[in-house]
Amino acid sequence: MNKRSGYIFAAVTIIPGFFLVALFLIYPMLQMVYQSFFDVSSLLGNPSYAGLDNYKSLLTDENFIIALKNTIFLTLLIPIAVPFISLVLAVLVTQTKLKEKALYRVLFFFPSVLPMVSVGILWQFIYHPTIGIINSALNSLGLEAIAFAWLGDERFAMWAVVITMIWQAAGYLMVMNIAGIDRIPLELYESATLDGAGALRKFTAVTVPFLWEVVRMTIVFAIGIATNVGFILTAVMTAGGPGLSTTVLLRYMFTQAFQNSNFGYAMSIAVVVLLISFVISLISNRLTNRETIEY
Amino acid sequence: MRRLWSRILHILITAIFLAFISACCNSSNHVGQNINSGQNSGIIHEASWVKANFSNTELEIAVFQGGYSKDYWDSIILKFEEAYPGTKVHMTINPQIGQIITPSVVSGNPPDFISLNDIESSGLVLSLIREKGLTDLTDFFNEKALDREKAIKDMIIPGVLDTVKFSPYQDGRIYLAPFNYGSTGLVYNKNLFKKRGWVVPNTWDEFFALGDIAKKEGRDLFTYQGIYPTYLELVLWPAIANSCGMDTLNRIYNYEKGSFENDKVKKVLQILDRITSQGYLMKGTVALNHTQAQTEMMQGKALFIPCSSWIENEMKNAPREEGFEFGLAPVPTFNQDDKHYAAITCEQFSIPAKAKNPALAREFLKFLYSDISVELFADKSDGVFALKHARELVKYKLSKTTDDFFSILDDSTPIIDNWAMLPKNSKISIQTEIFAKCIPLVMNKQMTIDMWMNDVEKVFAQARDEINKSRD
Repeated sequence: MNKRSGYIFAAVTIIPGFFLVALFLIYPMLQMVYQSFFDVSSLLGNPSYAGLDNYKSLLTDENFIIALKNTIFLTLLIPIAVPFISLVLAVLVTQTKLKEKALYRVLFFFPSVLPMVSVGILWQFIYHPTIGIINSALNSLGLEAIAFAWLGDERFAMWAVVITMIWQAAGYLMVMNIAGIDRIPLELYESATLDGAGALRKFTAVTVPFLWEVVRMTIVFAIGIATNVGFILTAVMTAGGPGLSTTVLLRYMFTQAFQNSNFGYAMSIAVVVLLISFVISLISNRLTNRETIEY
Repeated sequence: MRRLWSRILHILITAIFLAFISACCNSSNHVGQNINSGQNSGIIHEASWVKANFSNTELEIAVFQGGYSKDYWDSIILKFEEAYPGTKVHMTINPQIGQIITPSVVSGNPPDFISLNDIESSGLVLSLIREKGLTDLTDFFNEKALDREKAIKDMIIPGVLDTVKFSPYQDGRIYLAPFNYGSTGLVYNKNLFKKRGWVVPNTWDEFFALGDIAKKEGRDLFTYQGIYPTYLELVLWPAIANSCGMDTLNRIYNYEKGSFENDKVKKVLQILDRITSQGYLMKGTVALNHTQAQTEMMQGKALFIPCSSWIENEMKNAPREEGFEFGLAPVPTFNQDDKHYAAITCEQFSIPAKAKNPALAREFLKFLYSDISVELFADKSDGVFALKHARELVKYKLSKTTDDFFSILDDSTPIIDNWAMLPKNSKISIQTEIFAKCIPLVMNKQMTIDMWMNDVEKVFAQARDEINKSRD
């Protein structure tokens, strides 16, 4: 293949993908930002320019502030918890001597192939105050006093959703970590063993540094999970309640757009979600930026 | 000789039997005629209908496919095309109809007729209302019905057309047309009450007394659709109407100062407080979704749950207590002789202002209000049009449960949501503020009734402020 036909080949393979991304991702995103500066209070009328009015309204909107806090909570917690747990799971199913390793791989990955709504309904039954497995277990252990209505109590509802999110997403990121671990040369572990390193030392000195790029990628994935999956699961499991304790920004955006017909305002909420994701990705990139070990 | 007598006897018995059967048939026909004759006064038969001629004979309709059968729409279209030879109705029917037709509505090419509510997830009808994008139907309602010697508006259930749902700008003009209606109240297990000899409570005192009795056999008095606390409005508004009168309820619907924070409303809210603080609420209710809570009630864990006739279809596959039979009790009152109130639900039709064939759309709507359509709707969907005579007309076609559920309206005054329209750009969701934000906290004893009333008054003040600013 000469240089010219190489370019043509590259163009032919890249352009359709680029076109699709531009059409379905970049264009809607630009439209979203553009419309957030307009007063669009219906699907039909002519929008009028509103400048920063929508953004100013956000600052005084009590419900927005609650949803913002909930979203920030998820986008800080999930990108730490899910990549860490997925990494631990990946190490457990690749580097331990468990006989059922293959079974665990399947079991841990299984939740990621379930439809998100089914996951929500399943966990709604797990948390069910009377017939749920958690409260049944607590009751049978004589711990009735702590058998709470998990999804109906402001103190626990968001944590209950967080556990569901981790259960749903950790398996998927685990597979990415497994793929990374498989590429780490076995000799490194053998040398570490000869040097007298235990399992924990091998994890911190070999696995984590050599897997660092994959870990960084799983963090970015987890930020997306925190915003999108959080929206779906809270919609199914708690409807944003009790009170507004599990209302996230995307849910609030949906309410403003389709219940109150404030499409411009809803777009400004979406821009905030975009900014949060962007800023947290940036921070995580900065914090995790270190020299990559090539092998 | 004996054989001859035997034959004569056989013939006589057969004749008597046939005469009896024939009498029965006649009498049942007679009953049918009676039902119809009750309805027939002023009925114009199809052959005598005054039908307009239409130059454009194509009609595009968009229908939300909800709990009611699609068969009704297929059949009524056939009947319409038969009644109006040469016309052709093109129907799009889908559970996501709002999203499907939004692009064509936005591009100025809407369907001619829409069967979709203003409170649904696409926000399309709400947008059409806000942009004054619907046809004014006031004249339509003044016109005579196809099959009756009266104006259509006089056939509609009283009060419905005056509400914000149908006259959204409250300027005396009607822009949406009522479809079907349903009664609401407290759903209970009729068979259980029969077996135990329990009487449906008339007053709140009787309600709580029954709760004490049920408690002894391990049943809680009340549950509701936990994570969807707006279901409690089916109890709240009728109870407020009873305690404070319709005037106060209308003041609440108009966000008037002090309409929610007063002693009479407090008396109603204290009922909910008593339900939770004195242990009448089913354990774990706040964490359940609608089907979970309804299942628990049907399994006998709670006596009552607020709902409507759709519960029978929604829960048709749900496990239930042996012999479970749906019953609907009116929301109790404070005094024995007080009048009961019942919230009713009412779906909507509309004709977009930019419809290409509004004349035929109006005729189609008129046809939907004819007895042919009303009976077909009961036949195919077990539903009742929001017309005064509809229930009586289709009584013998409705399922036992549906008919039973409607019977509470015999002794109750119907209430329909009538919230004053908030201006464009308003961020307030009344349902969220009154119910979603406060009820779970009240039920979890994390919020007092006074705090609840105070919060609602703050939202009302904000609503008034927004309305006043929009007028300036």
